[in-house]
Amino acid sequence: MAGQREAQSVPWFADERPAEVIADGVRLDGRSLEEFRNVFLKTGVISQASGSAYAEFGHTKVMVGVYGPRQSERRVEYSEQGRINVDVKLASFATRQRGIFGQSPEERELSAGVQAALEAAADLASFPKASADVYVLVLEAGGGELGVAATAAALALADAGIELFDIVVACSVSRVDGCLLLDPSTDESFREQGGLVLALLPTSNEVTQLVSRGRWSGSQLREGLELAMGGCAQLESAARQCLKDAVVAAAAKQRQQQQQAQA
Amino acid sequence: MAAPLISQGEVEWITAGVSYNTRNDGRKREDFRHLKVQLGMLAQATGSARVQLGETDVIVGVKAEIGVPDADRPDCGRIVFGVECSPVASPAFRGRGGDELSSELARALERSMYPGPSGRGGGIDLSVLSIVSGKTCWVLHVDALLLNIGGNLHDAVSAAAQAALADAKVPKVQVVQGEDPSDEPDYEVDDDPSEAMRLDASGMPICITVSLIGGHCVVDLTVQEELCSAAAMQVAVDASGGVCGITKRRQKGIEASLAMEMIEVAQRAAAQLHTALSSSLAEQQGQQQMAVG
Amino acid sequence: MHVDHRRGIHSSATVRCRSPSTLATITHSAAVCRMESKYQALGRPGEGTVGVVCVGDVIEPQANDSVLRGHGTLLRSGSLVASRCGRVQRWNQLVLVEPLAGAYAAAVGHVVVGRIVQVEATRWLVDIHATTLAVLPLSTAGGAVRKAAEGAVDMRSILVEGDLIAAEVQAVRSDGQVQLHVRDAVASKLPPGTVVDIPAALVRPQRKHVHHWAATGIKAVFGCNGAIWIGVDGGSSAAVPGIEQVQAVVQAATAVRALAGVGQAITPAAVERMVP
Repeated sequence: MAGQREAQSVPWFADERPAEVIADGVRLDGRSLEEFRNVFLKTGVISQASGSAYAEFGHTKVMVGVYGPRQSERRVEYSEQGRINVDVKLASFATRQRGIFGQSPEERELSAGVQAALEAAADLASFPKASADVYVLVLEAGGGELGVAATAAALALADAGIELFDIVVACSVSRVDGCLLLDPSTDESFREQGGLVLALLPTSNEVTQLVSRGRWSGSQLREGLELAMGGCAQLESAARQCLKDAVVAAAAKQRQQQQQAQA
Repeated sequence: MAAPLISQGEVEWITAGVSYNTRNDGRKREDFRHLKVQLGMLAQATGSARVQLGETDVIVGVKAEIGVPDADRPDCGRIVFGVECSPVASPAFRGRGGDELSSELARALERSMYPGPSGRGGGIDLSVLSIVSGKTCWVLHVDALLLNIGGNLHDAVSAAAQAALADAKVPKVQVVQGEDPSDEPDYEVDDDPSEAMRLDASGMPICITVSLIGGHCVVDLTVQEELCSAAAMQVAVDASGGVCGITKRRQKGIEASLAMEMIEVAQRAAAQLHTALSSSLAEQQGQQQMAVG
Repeated sequence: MHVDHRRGIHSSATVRCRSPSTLATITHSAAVCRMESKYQALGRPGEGTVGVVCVGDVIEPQANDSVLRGHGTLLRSGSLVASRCGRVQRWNQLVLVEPLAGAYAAAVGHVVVGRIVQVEATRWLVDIHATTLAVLPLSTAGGAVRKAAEGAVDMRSILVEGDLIAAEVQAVRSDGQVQLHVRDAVASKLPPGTVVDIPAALVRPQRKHVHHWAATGIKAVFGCNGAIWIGVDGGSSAAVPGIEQVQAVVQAATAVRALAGVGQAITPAAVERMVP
């Protein structure tokens, strides 16, 4: 990130980024090239929110709370459609450098990225004049925040009962020394020549967000996108399972309460 | 910013026109409006360019300062992008009204020109801006000013930024080490413009925004056309056709195969725009050489 | 430090002129020349037009009782002076300056093309490029009135924000507010088409403001407020426009832009000469 820092943080960590991130097709953390980090998804983690989700991809930890749909706080012009507002906040301890007060350009970019990924998935016409506020808190930034945040936010929207055309799954791909790495960590993306984040509606194969940086040739880009789409397909089953588990658990709880009430 | 209004009839009209490959101003789907580039008209700037794309009018000035490199990249200089939405262009930009648009435009510029966290793969070789590794480097402030809004701001701003960076003449700096090695070295900035360094513009990408109107790919939209488009992809393409940054914009999703097609459309359009820009740059730089000589 | 002389920016204040009056004459005549060349086609002698003036120009050196001061003029030490740039018009004793640019000044009976920008309980606010938004009350909106009598109407089911309408100026109140009138609010909504905005001064009130091209099935509405709408002929429920219609409209729109670019008055006849 370009920007003047007023103070340098104490080098608490091993400061050097590893120079080599792949050896014999095995990555630093022992993964193969096309393997995800350990993925953990859970919905219903914040009782105050209309819907919420927690996602953990290796060291990347993200918490999402959805409030609404509710009457828009900001006075906006008349619209037949609802709005989704996304606010991504990196916890001040999420990165090596302590975060700055207020919204950083990085957070603004993440917010815009997640918003675009979600808008195409939600049925905005189902809550006219109202807005759903999506608050994303990145507890730890371990690489691929945009993808993780978008996936988690979509789960939270589904948990909030907002009408969606489909869930959104998103994942990142990095190109390091000619190899394509799925779901890169910070160390890996630090060495990348190119990176991309893809968000999909898996059933219709519709791209809701695509961000790339670095230089890609046409064929490399196609391969990268194919890998990302494959990754999204894997995530899809995990995300669906997570939502299904939550529904089953909620139904069981309801049944139990009913039985107690009868007894 | 209050979005301009459009009637359902106009949307139907523009969509129908696009499907017949005839737009309201007579252009075809992949035609750009007339592009006019002026170089070096800001005397106080290191490099400057004004780009007029149809009614859209943008000025970019580059200012070089000596600063400190990023801790992560001690061998590289820095480029800082900023966009100012002046109320001159639209009263909606008064106060903080233009903040959202300006940060979006600045981030889009940065993403296309600036390398990723590794410092590699970007449009500009930042290592040429280094003066003393880890201590001092050139910091280029690229500031864009929107003068008139006529649609397709992103592409105009990026073309202007590319031209202004190509126009920039970064002075030569000599590091003079004092007698005592622990002293801070002195920097001598050469004020001879013929000695100044020019950045290599050939690797710099320009952004092409490809929008979908009724399932067709369209480039260089007017304000009215932008209101009819629900999905767009902004693709930064360098002179050799390499893709240097993609961002999806607007609300709707895009079918995956269509997304690839949009990238190809952007590559085709970029090839034309690069040729037009580079011939215009070569011509104007030639004139400047004559004036100096 | 080398300075490229072509890059130097001189503010006009630093330009020294031997005699200030010379400079003033030069700039003034340049401004008038520009206006005259641009709008020469409009100056039709014999119709009350005298010439083009710039702010501060003396129109009548001795403004006695025989002169009535109209819009765009000032009385200064006995002489009548222009307070805006434009054409001098004389109607009997009345002298006024009609502006060539700036906001549209509505007059009763003008046909205008406007865009709905706000919907209120019993009226619509319409942008007609005037200084304030024009009002289209439900009561002057024709057919809808009957429905209103039966009970509350959904205003947005008739016209919504963004819709384009062709309307007539019914009244201009003393505070400048413009009231519009349409025969039928639903039918006044313009079908698929496009709008070309040109200076309002180029469209004069005329007998017919709507022109039909029967061969291609398109029509144009020439709004006195400088908004020229061109599009499909035939009701708001028209089908998807065909390729011939799109091409014909693009031709007509290009013709209007070209005519306006050289300052020609925009009339149905003038456009038809270019697009038969």
